Amino acid sequence: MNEEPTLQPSRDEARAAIASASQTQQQTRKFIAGTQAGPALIWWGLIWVAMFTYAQFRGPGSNYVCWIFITAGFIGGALLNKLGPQPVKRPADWRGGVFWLALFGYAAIYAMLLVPWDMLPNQSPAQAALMDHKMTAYFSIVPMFAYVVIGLFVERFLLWLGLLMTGLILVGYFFIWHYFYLWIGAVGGGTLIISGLYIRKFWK
Amino acid sequence: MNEETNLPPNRDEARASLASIDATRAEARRNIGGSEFGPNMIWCGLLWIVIWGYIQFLPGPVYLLWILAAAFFVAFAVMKKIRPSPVKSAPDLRVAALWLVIIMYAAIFWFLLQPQGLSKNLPSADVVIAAHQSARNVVMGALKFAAYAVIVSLFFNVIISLTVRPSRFFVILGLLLTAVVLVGYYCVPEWFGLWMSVVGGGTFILSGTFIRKFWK
Repeated sequence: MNEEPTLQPSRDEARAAIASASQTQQQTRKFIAGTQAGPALIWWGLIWVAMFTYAQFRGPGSNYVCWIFITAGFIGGALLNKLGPQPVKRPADWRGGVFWLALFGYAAIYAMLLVPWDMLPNQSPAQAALMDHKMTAYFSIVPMFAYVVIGLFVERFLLWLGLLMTGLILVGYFFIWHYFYLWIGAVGGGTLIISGLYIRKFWK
Repeated sequence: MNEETNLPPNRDEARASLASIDATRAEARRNIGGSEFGPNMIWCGLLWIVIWGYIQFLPGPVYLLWILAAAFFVAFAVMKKIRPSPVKSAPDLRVAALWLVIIMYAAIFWFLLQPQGLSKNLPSADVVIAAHQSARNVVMGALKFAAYAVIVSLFFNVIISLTVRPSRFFVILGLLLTAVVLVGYYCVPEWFGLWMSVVGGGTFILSGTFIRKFWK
């Protein structure tokens, strides 16, 4: 037989391993609190509140204003990164950028592949409203999906935040149809802001 | 002031760091070359050739496709039993969790982006919906689902290659295969099965052979 026997860790070894894992988690949280993650979450929360409140009360054909909000979100996020403490560059840093690029690239591919583009020109107003709800839910869930994936590998908090936000968006989509945008703005944006404040206050 | 001054490394330190990075990369490649990665990719390529070839030329009942896939996995398992991998790695729960998360979100995305619900009580949609239910659109719908499922799997591979098993080679391979799927879907939809069989399966087999030959 080529198999090695599996040895059970002793009580002290298990305790030491748990203590070490807990210490690593605290260090990771301190590191995250020292970056611009907290302010970035607050910033995106404010963008969500403003953009979706606008979307709830806008007139027809004013989708482009939402793109102005999104662009402002990215520019603000980049500025926050620039103004914050600059971490030491490591050879593996390329992976973070590629991860976000891959995520948004694949999200665009999914939309290109699955959206019924040939049906869009012949839509009635009710169909247009449904499509608008669908696309809003989709593009709100994509970044939450990124939080879940990052949460799996970096910090569990982001995993739960991503899953909670996804759940909230779907609840709004299915049950709060008439106030869907207001719901995402208030509950989604609010959750992002509270999470950012929580990281700033308790992870330092 | 609490800031540290960043001193640039001198020439020797930089050279030593680069050599260390090269050595680590070479070792990682040797590990992959000696593991079951290469043969697994060759098997995956063969599976693609058979299944996509079947879809292209024998559009018969779907259960035959499942029997074919099951036969392949049995053969794969038998081969693993006869020639077990020399390196056994502990199962990584995060990989399983990532699969679960990606499948869950892929289902949500499919639901959100597909046109279901657009036909409810909407008279103006009748003509368009009828067009969508034509025979050609049923075939295209199946192709769309196949392309989507493959791209979701490739996305999983790209994310794994960025996180759990960092490897630029596999990131590029995943992106390349995604492009292959999209080119086939949009440019040669009538021959999509054959395209996926030859180009997709071939890329897997070539990559597996490359790893076996040059990463030892």
